[in-house]
Amino acid sequence: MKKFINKFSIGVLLVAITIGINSCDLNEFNPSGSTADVVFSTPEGMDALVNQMYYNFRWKYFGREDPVLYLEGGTDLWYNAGKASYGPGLTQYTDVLTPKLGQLANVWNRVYDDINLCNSVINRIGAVPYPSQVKKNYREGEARWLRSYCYWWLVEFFGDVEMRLQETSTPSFYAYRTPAKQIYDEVIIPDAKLACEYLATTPIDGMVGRYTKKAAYGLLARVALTRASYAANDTEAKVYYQMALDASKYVIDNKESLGIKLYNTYNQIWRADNNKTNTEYLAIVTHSSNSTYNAQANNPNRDHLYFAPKLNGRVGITTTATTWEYPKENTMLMPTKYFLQLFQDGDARYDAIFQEAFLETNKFTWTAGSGDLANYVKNFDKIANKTINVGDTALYFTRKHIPQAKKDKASYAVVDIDMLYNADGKITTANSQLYYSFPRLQKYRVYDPDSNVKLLVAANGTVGYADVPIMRYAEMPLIAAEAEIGLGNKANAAAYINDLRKRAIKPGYESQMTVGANDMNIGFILDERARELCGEWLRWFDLKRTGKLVEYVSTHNPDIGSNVKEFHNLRPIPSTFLDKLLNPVEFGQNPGYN
Amino acid sequence: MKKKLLTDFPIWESRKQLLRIMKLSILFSFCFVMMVTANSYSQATKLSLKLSGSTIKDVLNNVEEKSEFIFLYKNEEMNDQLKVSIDVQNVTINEILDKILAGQNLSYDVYNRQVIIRKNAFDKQESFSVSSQSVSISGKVTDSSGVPLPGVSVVLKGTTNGTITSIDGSYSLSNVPSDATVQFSFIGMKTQEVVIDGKTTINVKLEEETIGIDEVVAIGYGVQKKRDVTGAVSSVKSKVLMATPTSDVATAMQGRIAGLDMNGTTLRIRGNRSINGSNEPLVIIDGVQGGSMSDLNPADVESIDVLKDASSTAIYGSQGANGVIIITTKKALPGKMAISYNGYTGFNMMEAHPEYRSGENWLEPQKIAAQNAGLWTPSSDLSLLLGTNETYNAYMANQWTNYDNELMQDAFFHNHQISAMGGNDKTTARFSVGYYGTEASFKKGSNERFNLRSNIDHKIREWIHVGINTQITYNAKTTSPYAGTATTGMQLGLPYDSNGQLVTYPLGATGYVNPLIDGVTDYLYNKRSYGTNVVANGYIEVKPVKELTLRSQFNTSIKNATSGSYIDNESSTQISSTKKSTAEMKKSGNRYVEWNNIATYNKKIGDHNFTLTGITAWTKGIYDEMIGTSYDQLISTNLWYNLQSGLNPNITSGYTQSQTYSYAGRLNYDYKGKYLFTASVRRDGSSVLAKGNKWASFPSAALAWRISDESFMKSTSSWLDDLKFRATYGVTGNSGINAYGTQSGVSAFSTGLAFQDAYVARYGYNNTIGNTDTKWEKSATTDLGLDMTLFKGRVNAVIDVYDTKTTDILLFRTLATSAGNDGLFGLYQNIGATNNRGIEITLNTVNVKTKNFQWNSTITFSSNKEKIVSLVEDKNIQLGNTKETSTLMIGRPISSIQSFVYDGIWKTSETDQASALYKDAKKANSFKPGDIHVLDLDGDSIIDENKDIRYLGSPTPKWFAGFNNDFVYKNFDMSVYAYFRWGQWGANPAAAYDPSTGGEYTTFNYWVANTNENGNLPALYRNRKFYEYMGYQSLSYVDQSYFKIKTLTLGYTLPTRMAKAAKLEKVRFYISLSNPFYMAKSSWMKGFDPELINTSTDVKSPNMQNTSRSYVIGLNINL
Repeated sequence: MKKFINKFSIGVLLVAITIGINSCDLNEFNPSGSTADVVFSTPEGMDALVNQMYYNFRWKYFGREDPVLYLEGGTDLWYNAGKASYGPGLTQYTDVLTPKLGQLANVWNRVYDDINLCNSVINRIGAVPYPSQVKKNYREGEARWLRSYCYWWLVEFFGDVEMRLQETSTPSFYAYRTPAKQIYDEVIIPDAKLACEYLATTPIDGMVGRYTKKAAYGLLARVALTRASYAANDTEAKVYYQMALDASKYVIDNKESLGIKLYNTYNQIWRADNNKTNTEYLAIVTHSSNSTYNAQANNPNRDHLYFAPKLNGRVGITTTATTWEYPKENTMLMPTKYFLQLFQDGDARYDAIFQEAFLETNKFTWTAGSGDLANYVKNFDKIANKTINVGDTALYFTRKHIPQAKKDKASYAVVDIDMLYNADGKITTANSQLYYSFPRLQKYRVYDPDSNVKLLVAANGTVGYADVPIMRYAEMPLIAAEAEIGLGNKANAAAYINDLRKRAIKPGYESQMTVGANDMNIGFILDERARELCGEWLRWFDLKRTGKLVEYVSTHNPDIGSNVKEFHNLRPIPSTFLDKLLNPVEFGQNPGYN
Repeated sequence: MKKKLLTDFPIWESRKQLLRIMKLSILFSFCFVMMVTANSYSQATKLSLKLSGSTIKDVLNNVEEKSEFIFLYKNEEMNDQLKVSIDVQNVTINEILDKILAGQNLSYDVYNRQVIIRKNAFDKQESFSVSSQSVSISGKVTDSSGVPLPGVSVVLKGTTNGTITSIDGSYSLSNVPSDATVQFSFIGMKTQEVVIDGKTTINVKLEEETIGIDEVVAIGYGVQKKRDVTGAVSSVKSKVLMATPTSDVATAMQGRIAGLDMNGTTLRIRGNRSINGSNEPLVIIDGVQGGSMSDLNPADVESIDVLKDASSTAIYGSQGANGVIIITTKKALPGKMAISYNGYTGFNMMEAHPEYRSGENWLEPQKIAAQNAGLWTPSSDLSLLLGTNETYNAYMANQWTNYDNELMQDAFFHNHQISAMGGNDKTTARFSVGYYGTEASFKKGSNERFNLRSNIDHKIREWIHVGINTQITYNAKTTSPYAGTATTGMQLGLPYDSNGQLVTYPLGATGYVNPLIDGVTDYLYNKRSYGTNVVANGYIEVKPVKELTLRSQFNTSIKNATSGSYIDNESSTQISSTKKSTAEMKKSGNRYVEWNNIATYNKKIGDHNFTLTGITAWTKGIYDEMIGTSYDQLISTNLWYNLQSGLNPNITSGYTQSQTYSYAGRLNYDYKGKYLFTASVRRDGSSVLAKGNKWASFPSAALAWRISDESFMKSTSSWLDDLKFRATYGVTGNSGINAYGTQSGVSAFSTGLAFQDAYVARYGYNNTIGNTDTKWEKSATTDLGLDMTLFKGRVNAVIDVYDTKTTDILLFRTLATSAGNDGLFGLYQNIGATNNRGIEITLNTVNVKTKNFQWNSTITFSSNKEKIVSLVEDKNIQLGNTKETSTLMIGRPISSIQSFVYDGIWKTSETDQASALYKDAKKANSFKPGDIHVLDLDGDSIIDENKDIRYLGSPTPKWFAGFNNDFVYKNFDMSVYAYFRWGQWGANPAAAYDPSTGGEYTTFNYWVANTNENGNLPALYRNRKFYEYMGYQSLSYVDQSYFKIKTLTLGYTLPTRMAKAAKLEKVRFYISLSNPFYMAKSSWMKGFDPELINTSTDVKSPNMQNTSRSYVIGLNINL
């Protein structure tokens, strides 16, 4: 009996324990997580959310290859380097420009991502107890600026899109288009105006790279000018030309108070030693010398590679040379013949932004068996056994015409405009070396030989940390001039242009370079914008705004001219967006795309 | 006369009362010896003994050690503590026994190796109770073929009285009640009961137990005799798992269990049900979760039982929806120490790929591609075609390198496992240690696993048992430095210069990076990971009263993993890009605890048998991790052990926890083993679900009818041994979402953003938007099954048909990309229902059975039809960005492929038809010869990505089957194992085609105008990628049906006598060959291992690894 009791008591104990664990709770314990309502109701959390808005531009846009393809590629100015077909949908309007194209979804997704963050700031900031109204306004101003910029980009790219003004917190599987004009009138322009009001002239917390008042007025000028192109009639257009003029004039007239200072010579703008303190940039995307501070730790800024010819391994350019200076890959765009010829002889800007001579890095002697001979069409008898020393010119790619005799005599390799382009403007197919041999756009150089400033994350790396301008002072007089043309004041327009050009005239060319009211038309403005703002992420927008995309591309970029069609003024709506909608047919694709 | 050795306990339970006085150990050894007995041993064996003052027991033990003799006796009949002295030389066993048993009134019988000692007959009778109507009975026990069976226990039912049959199978019992029932039992034979009913001679023919019938199977929180199981349960035993050399348990199961599909490392039972939730079966090891199948050494596994239908798995409730795999590890048996060694070694040989192009064969497509792209003409210089001087020179010098040969190796592997077990009637223990090591197919890569296991069981009292199972596994993996670069398609150029030094760029700076450079030192590309997994579980089992068992089981598992990675700035990936070295170290840990309490009440009332089971279960899992990274450290030999020396050391950490609580009850009832009924209900709560939806109930019921036991089936009993019909229904669940899946979260990021060099913190949205409406996903399964055994066990068949309806399927549904978060916002939603219907057949047959030759076959066949029945708003849902492979289509399997339909390449002779078909809606671009011909399904002359695609197939096979044949001829054994997987679609090797270079492989048959109009791949264009061809998707997917002989094994077991001479119990050698033969249905798969191609996790990209074929030699030794 005693034994039975022992057994029984152990049994009872087990049953009791069993019932005991019934009290275990099923609440989730999540120490490493947090929710939006908690974090974004504090000033610190709101600051962090505002900071996040800046992330995408560093992560995937400026300094990265995508914008090179879709903001500069596919215009009258550029063709794929080496006749390659990288990103041909964007750079050449081939039939891979479809709704499936990943780069377009990247724009769509990330711009909407930023819009959601902006909405979150704008929706929530009213309830955040900031100690200072100035700071609160500044934060809202940053969000207004970015939302305006993002919708401007979206609408220009895709046309009528979904207008979302609330932070996403509920499922959404249906989407509806809002007319582009309405988005301008309800978001893009009002937000830009609020940004002008809220943002201070200097970055809050002293952080270079935050949007400031000059960026806000610059943006207002830009979007108002664009809005004018949507006007139903002249009267409506004039309202926006005036708005664009007022905003750009505000910047021009208040340079000092807005913290703008023009360099005396044009080439100063693009020197590496001025990059981090540039006084002509109105809005920039910054990168850091500290790799973990960059969205792409190992890959912050590669813009210096994208417009370069392939140099590594060519005539005496040593193959172990640092590839940031003489790249062998990531070269993406080469200028069209039309573009190189846009610059007059007296225009100092060409020499400032294009590099034609490349120096030897490894002593090189031409030999009879060298395949390079054939590539550069050199005459063996004249060149054999000639030596190029380090520091001498090794390669010379020029927009000039060089007589063959002179080419043969030079100890270096020469590719002139006649070798690079056919008479019809198309790029040569004569050999695979030549179409990689073109003058280099050096706006994004990360190295100044004069000052020995190197903006490179790793000394021998290919990636830099130069800041990327996304709005520059020169755009303001160009906007003012275009607005004045729209308002019928061509003389005023010419004055803005002449003022802009002042420092870019080589001595002795003053009369040729000075323009008059009769020169003022959209064609001139586009040419001048090409000369001034090439490679600054505006060309595609400019051609579209002026309605010249098809005309200019087909006329001036003969390699792709036959591909471009009127429907290319809009990009296709990404299929990754439509595919997830429950009303894809109702939303609809842009015309011309399957 | 080979008897089956049963390793399960329960058969012994009934006889324990008689034999408890005997040493169980002796009995087991006895049985074992019976198996190998061939001729008279007793007279041939001569023994020498010299012992003084020892007990009889010592003497007998001594003899047992020196010989194969085994003694059986009752303690109470013989005083084995009596001291005796003996000194003999070369005498027989009889002489020894005569000496030591003298004067004890004992007699003995020697049956070859076994010796039974008992009291003289007269005395023995005294031990039986005297009955007024007592009789004496005698008779003979034989097997079904009439051969006498010695050693059969003959017991009066309900008493401990009985005897054992002698060498001629005869027995006699006197003084037994005339109405008593006599039970005849013998291992491996069906127990028979005979009512005396006045008879004095009772001859009995014992029948061999038919395969499987009295096996015990695990049914979840308990075991059941296989014959009483009501659900669909399939089992694999140790012998099958060990038949061929495999390093992991999952592979050993492939094709052995109907309904279990294995593809790569993915296991599926009866297809997929869930979209978002796991479709992985629940794995229970020794009654608990939290262990990993891959940590187990197959040699430690006793049996695997797979529960497939919902009535079986409903006892696991929310975790049962995908089936349950219950693994039972080997336990020791009381008795003699047994030691065994299992080992094998071999090579994984790389079989030829389709060859890479070289020489003229390589140049030709280059020419065509460049010509087609207008970049070259045949009159131009060859150097212009080849781009750089280096390429030109290498080509002219005919410098070709097969990088596969340089980077890959025939990988050596070996596996060793030693186990020892033993114990007494109180404590038994089994220990095993194992090692598995293999080289990777890329040079310098390796994998190692060490495991240590101990299973200990102890009886504190008859009514209270405790035990502990512990397993420690250590894994170490070194990733090959070449795994980062893999092979290069370019074979031109030499990796070494004339001095034998590696060159970085074999074709100059604009060419490819030499993939060999990463292996120069250990400090260029070094990735290693190692981890220790410990699983320990203990139980206490109490039987307060006879019918009630209370068991409490506690399980804990701890996994610690460390991985390190160092990639130098001079490594092949970095040298051509950012030139930064990166170092990372990651430490992660899993902690898991589980506590199960099980009460089992078993009651028999007449012919009614009830078992009631009550269960509570609690689990909690925690994962945490810490990752440190830095860049550009000074000293590469620091690897990841000095992160602080690099730039910007950075740390991230994370934590995930979830817990469940459950209780369940089950009733098993049977009437005469003929009508069987099971019902269960489980209530489950899970932390990961939203408040208010955390709990759900999962009921089940099952009926089984043993038709063969009905009297009307008497006429069929000559050929039909057993026939059982089963009908079951059950509901199981799946919480289907990740921890915190119902919370809207934001995360802080400490890196990635600064204004110039001024660092700022940022907070961003997580991907998940909390949906508090999420409920349990539930699967309801109806299963009808038929189990039969025919022709005296020669044929055994199990057939199941089932229908599973899964409702409230959870989907992590991404929102329209305009919602933000880079297009990744999503939420969990119950979105629809799926249906799985299928049939499964398992057929075991003994085809030939003669004295020297036996041929057994096992066929498993499974066919499952999976489809989505409904989706919210009755519209297809596209999940990912690839419409072709990530669309949920109503009426199709969960994973389905839709695409253009390939119809060859447009020929020159078809120019007119081709140009009538357009690539764009505007009809601006038409097709040309050399383009891919895809069908214009809607007939509008425009190939449209939405209208001209159709469902092609699913990666889930339509059916799969295993076919295994075992042959035994004398001491030789052979097995051939074949596997079919049919009707599944997946990546086409042609998807790797690169028209811009002419393709890597000689098998790629590209179209060339006029000269190769029959090419099945489109015309080559330099600089044009495959994805830029209209309709390329039609070539991305292919029917991947295949047939494969998986293994071929030939074994030889040393004759017993030779083994004995080496003092070994059993020795078997074998050789085995894996993948000797395979065949794919589609000609696109030619030259590739279809199973391997298939294992790519991404349906879009085929796994283009080389096929491996392993050659193995192995050895099994039992001591």
